[in-house]
Amino acid sequence: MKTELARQLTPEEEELAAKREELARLEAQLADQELLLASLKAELAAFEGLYLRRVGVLYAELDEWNARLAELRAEQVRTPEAKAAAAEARTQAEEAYSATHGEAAKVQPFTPSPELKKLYRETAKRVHPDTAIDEADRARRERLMKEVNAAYAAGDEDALRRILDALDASPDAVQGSGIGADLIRVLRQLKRIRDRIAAIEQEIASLSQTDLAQLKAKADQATTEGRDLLEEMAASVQVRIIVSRHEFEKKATGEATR
Amino acid sequence: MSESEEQTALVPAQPNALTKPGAKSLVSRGHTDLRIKEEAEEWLKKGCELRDQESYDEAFVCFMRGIELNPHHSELQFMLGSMYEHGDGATQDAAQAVAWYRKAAENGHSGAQFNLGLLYDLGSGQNYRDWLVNPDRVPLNEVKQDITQAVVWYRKAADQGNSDAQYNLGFLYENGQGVSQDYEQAEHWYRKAADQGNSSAQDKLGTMREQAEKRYAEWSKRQTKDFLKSGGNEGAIFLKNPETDPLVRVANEVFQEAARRKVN
Repeated sequence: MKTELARQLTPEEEELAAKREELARLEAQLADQELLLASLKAELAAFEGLYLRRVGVLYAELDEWNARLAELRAEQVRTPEAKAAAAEARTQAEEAYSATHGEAAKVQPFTPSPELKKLYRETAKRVHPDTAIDEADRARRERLMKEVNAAYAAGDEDALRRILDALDASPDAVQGSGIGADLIRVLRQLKRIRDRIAAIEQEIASLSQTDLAQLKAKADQATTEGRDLLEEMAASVQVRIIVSRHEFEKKATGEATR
Repeated sequence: MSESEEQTALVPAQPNALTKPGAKSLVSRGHTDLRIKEEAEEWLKKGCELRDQESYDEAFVCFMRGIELNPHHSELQFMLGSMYEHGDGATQDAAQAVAWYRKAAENGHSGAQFNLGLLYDLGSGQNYRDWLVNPDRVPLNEVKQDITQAVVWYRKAADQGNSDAQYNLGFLYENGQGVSQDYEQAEHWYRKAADQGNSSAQDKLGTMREQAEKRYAEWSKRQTKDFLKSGGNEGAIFLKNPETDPLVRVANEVFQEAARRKVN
């Protein structure tokens, strides 16, 4: 039966079947890679939030004291340099304050459930723009993929299910006519997926070079050694806050009694 | 997907935390500070190794490079105080030693608190005692003796469990130097030090007990004499049966009360 069927396939058909198999394999691999990247980004964002809440706020406090000190100095000496320094210190303090009180500081720990990961992988495989059959389809998928990533980062399983349902309802991947056309389409899809996998690898590599990722790696390492790196960092900023505040208070009272 | 569907995303857009410049610069700042701290730690480690090999000049340079990177590092401050105190890798300089020890001590370094206390305690070297802690230690001539300051720093170190400081604090209480004489406090601090295996403190506790027993013996002899003088023959009974006689029990209670009040 099988051999009979195989004999009926033309070389083009055989080639197309093989490429489709490869495509399915690569699509699964791509979904895994997308999951890896999305998880990494969400973990980094969560760590950034934790860092901003535990250490960042202290830098903001330090900057506030330093800004007050610079402003006091500017009042005392009244030189353009001192004024410029005070303005710069004030800007830095404001930036630090808004960074530690903005959205980034509110990101909560990222702990995806196995169900969420499974849903993401499924949805990503279905939606992925690089599996598109034409440009219009591709644009639609790109938009959807953004939503998929956002839903994953937010840990929103329901949103992922809604996207999957919407996909099931829409007429998917209407095939063009002719084996030749199909083959070309599959070959293009294969190339795009390979490119995307390479791009993801590059993005992961460059993400892991960022200060945020390196800091997280050090914090994770410290945790395995039973240390709390963020606590240690916070403590050393706290020492600097005490020094700056002390200096400011000394100068401020000196000014008042003069 | 219809036009309206395209505009209403299924999920609200997430703030892309990774691209916020303010947050990013705060992270970079923390990471840079951490790297600097780690580097200072490396200098400390290297300096300590060199010092142990008695390469004092190189060790001193390491500590200095470390302190440049992390001026608030209490262990590095302590090391520099120690180098200046002993003239290792730098000219012996009491003012520098005190200044570095003080920084470290104010940062809560118990070793520096003890050393600073010791420098003030010994002062210009008059009244140099055999501390048993470090008999080779030569007091720095330029430091003005100030036992009150010594007590302040010993107490901070002692509270942190530094047994040398506990011993010295006990000594000052026992001899009433910088504080009013207080045997109870002396015993308290000797006991703390002795519990940590400080043999000088253990000896002191022994001596203090002997002296207390001697004081008791003298006191009870005196009491007995007075008793015999005033009471006549009953004294013989008292001496014969000291365990059961209520008078002896009272006498013991009186003594213990007296001892509690540090009566000599």
